[in-house]
Amino acid sequence: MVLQVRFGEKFIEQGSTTERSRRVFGFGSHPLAAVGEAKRVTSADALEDNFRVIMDELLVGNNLEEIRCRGPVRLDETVTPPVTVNYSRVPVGATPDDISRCSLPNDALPSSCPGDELATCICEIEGGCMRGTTLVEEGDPVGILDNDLDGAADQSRLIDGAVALRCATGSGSSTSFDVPLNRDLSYWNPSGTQDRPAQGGFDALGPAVVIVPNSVLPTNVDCGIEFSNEVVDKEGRRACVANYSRDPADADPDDPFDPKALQPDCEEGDFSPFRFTVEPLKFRPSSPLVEGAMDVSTTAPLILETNVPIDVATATTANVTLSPAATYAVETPQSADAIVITPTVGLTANTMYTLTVTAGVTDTFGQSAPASFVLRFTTAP
Amino acid sequence: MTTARKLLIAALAGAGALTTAHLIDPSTASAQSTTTGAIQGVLTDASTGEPLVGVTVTVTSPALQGAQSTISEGDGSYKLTNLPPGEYLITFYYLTVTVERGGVAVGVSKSTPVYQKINSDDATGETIKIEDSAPTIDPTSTTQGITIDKGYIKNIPVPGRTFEATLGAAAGSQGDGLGVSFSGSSSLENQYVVDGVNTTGLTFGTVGSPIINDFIEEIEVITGGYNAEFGRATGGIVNVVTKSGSNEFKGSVFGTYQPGQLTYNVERAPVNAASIDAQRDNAYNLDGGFEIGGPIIKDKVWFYVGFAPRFQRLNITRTIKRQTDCSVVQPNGQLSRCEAGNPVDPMDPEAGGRDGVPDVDPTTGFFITEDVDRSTRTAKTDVYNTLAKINFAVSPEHQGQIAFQGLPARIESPAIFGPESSGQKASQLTTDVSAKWTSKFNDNKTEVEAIIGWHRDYVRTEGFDPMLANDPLEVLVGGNLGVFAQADRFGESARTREFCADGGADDKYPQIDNCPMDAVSYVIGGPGSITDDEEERIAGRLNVTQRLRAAGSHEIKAGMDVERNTAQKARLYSGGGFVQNFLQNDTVIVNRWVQLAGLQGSPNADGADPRFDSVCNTPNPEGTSLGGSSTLQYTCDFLEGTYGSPGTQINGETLNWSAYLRDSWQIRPNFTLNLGLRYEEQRLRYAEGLANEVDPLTGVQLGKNAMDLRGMFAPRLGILYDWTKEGRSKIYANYGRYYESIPMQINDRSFGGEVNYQQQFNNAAATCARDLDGDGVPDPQTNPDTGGVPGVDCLGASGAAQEQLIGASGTLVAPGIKAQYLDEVIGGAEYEIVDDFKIGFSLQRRWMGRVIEDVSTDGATTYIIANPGEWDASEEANLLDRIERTDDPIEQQRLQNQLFLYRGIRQFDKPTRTYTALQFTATRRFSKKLYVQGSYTYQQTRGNYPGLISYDNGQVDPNISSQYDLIELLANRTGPLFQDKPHYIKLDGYYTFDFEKAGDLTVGVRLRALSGTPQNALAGHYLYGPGESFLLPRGQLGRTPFDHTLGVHLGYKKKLAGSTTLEVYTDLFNIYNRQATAGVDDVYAPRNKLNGTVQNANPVSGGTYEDLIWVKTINNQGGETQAPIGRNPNFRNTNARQAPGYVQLGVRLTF
Repeated sequence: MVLQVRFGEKFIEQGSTTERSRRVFGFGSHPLAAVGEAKRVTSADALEDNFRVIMDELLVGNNLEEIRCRGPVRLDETVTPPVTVNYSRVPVGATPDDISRCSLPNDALPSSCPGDELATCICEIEGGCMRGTTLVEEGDPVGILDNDLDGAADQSRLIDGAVALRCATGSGSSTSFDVPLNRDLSYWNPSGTQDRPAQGGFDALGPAVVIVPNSVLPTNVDCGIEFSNEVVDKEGRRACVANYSRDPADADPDDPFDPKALQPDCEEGDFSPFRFTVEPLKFRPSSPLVEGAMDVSTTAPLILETNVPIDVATATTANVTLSPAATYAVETPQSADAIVITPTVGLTANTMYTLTVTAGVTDTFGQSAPASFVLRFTTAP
Repeated sequence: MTTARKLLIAALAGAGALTTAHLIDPSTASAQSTTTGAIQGVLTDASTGEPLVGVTVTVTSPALQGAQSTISEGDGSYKLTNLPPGEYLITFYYLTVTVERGGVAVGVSKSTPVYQKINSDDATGETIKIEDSAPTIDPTSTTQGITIDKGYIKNIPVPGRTFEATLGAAAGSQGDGLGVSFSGSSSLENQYVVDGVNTTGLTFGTVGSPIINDFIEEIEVITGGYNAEFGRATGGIVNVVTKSGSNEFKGSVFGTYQPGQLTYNVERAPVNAASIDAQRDNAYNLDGGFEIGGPIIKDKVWFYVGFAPRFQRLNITRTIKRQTDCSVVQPNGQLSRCEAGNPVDPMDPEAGGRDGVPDVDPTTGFFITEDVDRSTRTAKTDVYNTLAKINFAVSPEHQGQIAFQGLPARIESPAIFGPESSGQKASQLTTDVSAKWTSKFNDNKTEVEAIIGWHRDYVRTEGFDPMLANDPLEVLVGGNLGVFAQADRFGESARTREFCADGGADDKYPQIDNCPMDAVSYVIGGPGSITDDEEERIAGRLNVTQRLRAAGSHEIKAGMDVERNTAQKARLYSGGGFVQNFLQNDTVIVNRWVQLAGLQGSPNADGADPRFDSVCNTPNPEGTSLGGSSTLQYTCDFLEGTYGSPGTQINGETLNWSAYLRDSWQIRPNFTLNLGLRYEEQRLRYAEGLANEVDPLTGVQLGKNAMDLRGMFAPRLGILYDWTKEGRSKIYANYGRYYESIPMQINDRSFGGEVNYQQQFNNAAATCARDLDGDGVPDPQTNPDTGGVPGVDCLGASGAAQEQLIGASGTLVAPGIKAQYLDEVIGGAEYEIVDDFKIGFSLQRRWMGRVIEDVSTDGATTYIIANPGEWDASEEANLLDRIERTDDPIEQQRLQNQLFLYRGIRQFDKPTRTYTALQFTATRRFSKKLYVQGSYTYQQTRGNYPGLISYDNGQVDPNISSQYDLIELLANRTGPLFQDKPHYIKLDGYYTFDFEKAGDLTVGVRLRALSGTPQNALAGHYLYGPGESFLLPRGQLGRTPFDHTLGVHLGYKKKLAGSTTLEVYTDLFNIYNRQATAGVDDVYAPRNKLNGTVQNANPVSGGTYEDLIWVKTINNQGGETQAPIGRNPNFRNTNARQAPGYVQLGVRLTF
C-alpha cells in the first residue's frame, strides 16, 4: 500500500510575508520528520514537478513501466491516425538475463531473442517494424535499446494509464480529470527502504513511484492518485492507499498520520485516503504596483505576476478591467505567467483607479481564482 | 569507515579448503601448557580392581630430555606433565613387577590417558611389555579440534610449505582468501601461538609468522570449547610447537621443487569488455634447507637450528585482445565466418562482415575477441626461514628455552593492467624471540611456567621503478588501450601498438574501438600508497598449576599475561596523492592524505604550524538551514614528500592483559567438571600527537585511551563422562564465552587522525589546465599517452567541482562501549570402537553476543565506534545530566549533537552471526602402518555480520568496515554468509608398504568436497564506492558449484647407514585438474558503466532477481535519476578458479 506521498506545498514562514515552497509528507509521515513536515496539504505547489509515492512493499514493475526498443514495435491505436510506439512491455517473469539476451547486437537477436514468452521488444505490427533501414518481421525481435551493450535497457518510462494524478473541480464534484504526466520522467524504482539515507533525505525513501506532471498542476482543485487495476503487488493484490483511522483510541487527533493509527491493510483499489488541494490561481502585483500605491505612472505598464501560467486567451480587457474607464491593452509574455496592462492612452493623473481581474481569467486547465482580484492605486499628479 | 584502503581477497573458499591436517588424536584436552602435553591414568590391580598406590611411573622419549617420573596417588591415579610432543615409553614399577608400554603418543596440550591393570602376581623379575595402544580419547577435556604431527605433514599432500597450509584439515575449517577460518568465524579472529608466544599479526590478525613445516614438531588446532587459559580469539586457536634438540644429533636436509612444467595451465577466466586478460601460472616453487638438533651438554643443554630459503616465481601472462567486427549470428544461431573487409550483406548473413557493432557471442554474451599479443611478467617471492633454539634443564623439573625465529622476505609484484613499472617491491622482516621457564615443585604437583616474547614485523614497499618513486599513481578509467599503447613509456608491445590502434589504413575493424578498457582500469605512474610499517608485540605470561585432592582430584590452573602492542604506520601516497582519471567523462578525482589544523578562523587554525598552508573544503553537514555557509573550510596540510615528514608517520599502541582461573575437577576418574573464568581488558590508545590533546576536528579534549574495554568476563564450563571408565569414550558438553582482541588497524585509521581529502574536477581538461606558455591563460591539453586530460595536473589545480573531507569530523567512541564477543555451546560424544579407531559426533553452536563496528548516524559525516543497535541507557542519562549542568552554550550544543548521534546508534540492526554445525568424525591414528582421518560437517552460518573481513567487497578493516556505516546499506544483508557451506567432507589417510630391506613406500591421499559459496547482487554507493549495496537479499542468487579435489602422495624411503634414511617423494595435487569456479563476480551494477557514466544504486529490500530490471541509478551526488542501472557484463562470470593440478617433487635425507 501507499505509505507516504511527498510533494511540494506553498507556505508563508512565521514572521514573513513571502510565500515559499517546500517538500513535505502530504500523506503519511516518518519517525524522523520534524513537526510540521507531515500534514494534509491544502496549498500544494502548482509548479510541483515531482510526486514521490512511497510504497510499503514491492509492486510488479512490469505493470508500471515499459522499456525502449531500437525501433517501433507496436501501434498506438488510441489516436487517429495510429502512431508507432518504440516502447515495449516486459513480460511478467522476465529476468535481467532475458533483457540481456534481447539486448544483443542485431545479428544475434533472432537466435538469442526468438520471440518467446519472456522476450521483450518483439515486433507486433502487421507488415513488420522498421529498425533503421531494416524491416523486422512481425514476431521477430526488434531489440532493446542498449547503446553501450551492457545487457541492460538504456531507457524506460511509465506505462500509459498505470498511474494517474486525478483532480476534481470543487468539493464532491463528479467532474474529474487526469493531469497529463511526463511518462519519460516518471518512473518506478523498487530500491530503497524506510531508512533515511545519507544525504538523500526523505526523497530517497522507497520503493516508490515518482510521478512527474507534464506541466503545472491545475489550481484550486482537489487531487489524488490512482493506480490502474494492473498495478499489483507480488501477491497479486491491487495497490491502495494506507488508512489512518482514528481508532485505536490512543491515536493523536491532531496528528492525522500518527503511526499508531495506521491500519495494517487497505482495501484493494481504494485510493481515497490521500487527497490534497492545489493552491489557487494568484495574482501578485509587480513593483512599484502594490495595493494603495501612490504616484503610479500614467503610462508605464502595470504588471500582475501569476503563480502559474494562465490561459492567454482569457487575458482580455473584458476580464481585466480598469475603473474609471481607460484605454489599455492586455498582454501576456511568452511564459504566460504574468498579465501586462499597458495604457494605450495615458491614465488620468492624480486619480484613484481600481484594477480588477475577474474569474474569467483562468489557468491552462480552465480553473479560475476563487475570487476576483482587486487592486487600487493612485496615479501620479 | 570508508574503504580508502582495501586489501583484495586473493582466492575464495575452496583454495583454503585444499589445506590438510593430520589428526593423531582429535580428542580435546585440557592444555597443560601451550607447548607440551601430559600422560595420565589410573593404575589398578588386575585381580581385585583395587587402585594401586605408590606405583612408580617413568616416561622416556626421544622428544624428552632425560626421564620424568611420578608416583601413583591413593586412588591409583597419576599424571606426568610438561612432556614435549612425541612418542613415549611408559614404565610402571610396582613391587617387583615391571610393566612397559610403548608407542604412547603425546600431543601438544593433550593429556593421553593410559589406564593400566597390573597383576602383582607377575613378579617374575622380567619386564612385561604391553603391545596395545593407549586410548585416543582424552576424557578430561571438551576442547574441539585436531593435532597435526610430523607424520601427517610428511605423508599427506599438504598444499603449501608453511603450517597455515595444514590447518584446513580441522573439521569446521575453511579457507577464506586471507587465511583459514574456524567454526563460522573469519580467519582474522584466530590467535596464533608459536612456542608459547602470541605471533598473531598485529594490524589485521593474520598469521604473523608463517613457519616452514620442516621446522615444526606439532600443530594443535582448537576450533571450539577452549579452556580459560586461551582467549582473545573468537575463531580458533592455532598452537605451533617447533622442533627441539635432544640427546641425539638429529636432523634432515630437504628440498622441494614444484616446476611450472609439471603444473597444468590455469584455465582462463576472461573478463568481458576488457582488452587485457591476466593468467597466473606457477613458474616454480623451490625450497631447500636443513634442520638439526642435538646436545650441547648431554642431559643439560640442547640446540636446534634450521635454515630454509624458499623461492617462488609466478608467471603472469598478459594477453592483449581486441574486439572483432566481422561476424554475424546466422539464423541458425551460429556465428558466420569472419569477413572483416566487407559490410554485412543482409542477403548472405553466412558471409559475415562489419556492421559497426562489436561482435557478441550469442551463447555467452561476451564480446568476441581475438588475441593480439601475449607477454609474461614475473612476480617473485623469496623468503628465508631461520630458526634457532636452545633448551636447557637444570634438572628434569626445572627447564628453560630460548628461541629465535627470523623470516626476511623480498617480494616483487609487477603491475599487470598497466606498465610493469607501476608495480611494487616489498622488503619484510618478521622476527620472534621468546624465553620460557618451567619449574615443578611439591612432587610435581605444582608447576610454574613463565614466558616472555617479542614479535616484530617490518614491511617496506617501494616502486618497481625508482624513477617513478615520487610520481602519483594514476588509474585510467575507461579509455582505449590502442591509445595507451602508442606511449613508449607504458611499454606495450609493437603488436599491441599496431593491432589495437583505431583508425588508419591497417585498422581491420575501422568502425569499432579495437581495444576498449571499459571493464578494467589501466594503472600508470608511481607505487601509490607507501608502506613503511613496523609493528611490535612484547608479551609476558605466568601460569601456575596445582594438583590436589579434595572430593576427587583437582588440577587448578591460574595465570595472567600482559601484552604491549605498538604499530608505526606510514600515511603517504607517492607524489602526494592518487588520481582516478575518468577519461570518457573528462573527470578527475584526486585523493590525498591530509592533516587538519582546524576550521579556518579558529584558534587551532590560526596558531597552527606553518606547514598547514592549504585550505581543504568540505560540505557543511548542517547546510545553510541555520544560516551557515554551504561549505566548511579547514586549514590543512597535504601529506606529501618523504616518509617521516610531519604527519606521515602514525604511532599507535594497544595494551592487553588477562587473568584466568580454571579447575579441572575429576569428581570420579570417569567424570570431570571443567570450571573456568577468564578476565580480559584491552586499552586502545590514541596515536602519538593526538593523545591528551584537543582534537582539532571535534574540539574534544582527548585522553590517553581511545577505547577502554573492561569487564570482559569469559566463563568456561564443561562436563565430561567416560562410560567405559578406561578413557575409551566420553560424552561432553561445554559452554564458553570468547572475546575478540581488536587488531591495530583501528589505531591507525580511527585513532590516528586519518583524514582523506577528495577533490573531483569536472571538465578537467579546462579546470586542471596549466599555464604552459606563461601568458597567464591556462592551456588545456590532452595527454597523447592517455587520450585525456593529464590527471596529475589536477593535483595542483583549484576549481574542483566537489570537495570532501572523509573523516573530517573525527571519530567518536560511544560512551560505555563494550567488547565484542560470542557465545558457544558444544555437545557431543566420542567412542573408541576398536583399538586406535574412534568415531565421534558433536553439535556446535556459536552466536555473536555483541559487535564493535563504526556507524554513522548523520549520513557519513561523523563516525562513531559503537555497538550497533545498542547504547547504554545509563550513559544516555549521564550525558543528559552533563547537558543540564553545562552553562556554556557552545559546549551545550556540542553535547546535544553528540546525544543525537549516540541515540542514532540504536536504530541500526544488531549484528548477527549464528553458526550451527553437526560434525561426524572417524579417526584411525597411525598404527600398523595405516592412518585415516575423516569428517563430515553439516553447517549453517547465517546473519548479517560475516566478521572482521567484508568478503563481499574485499575490505579488510577489522571493526571499522563499511558494513555498518550507513543505515541504508544494511538492507538485504541478512542471509547465508560467505562462510555458509552446508556440506563439507574431508578425508585424509596414508599407508606404508614395508618392503623391509628394499625400503618402504607410503601412499597418502587427501580428499576435499564442499558446497559452494552463496552468490549476491551488489551495486555501488555514491559515497562508498563499488560493491557496497546489496541489491537483493544476501545469498538469494544461489551458490557457486559444489567442488571437490583429490591429492596423492607417493614417497619412497630407504634406510642408509645407521639411522640415516633417504626419502624421495612426489605430491600430486588436484590430480584430475578440476579448476572449478571458486568465485564469481557478484557486482550486478558496476560503479562505472561501459559508457563511462558513474552509477550507484540502493538495495531492493526483500526483492527478487526480476526487480533488478527496474532499479534506477543514483548519481554521484546521491540524487535519484530515472535511468535504469547498467549491468556488469561480467556479472556471475567466474573470476576465481581452484588452483590447477600440479606436481611437487621432494627429497629428504634424515639422520
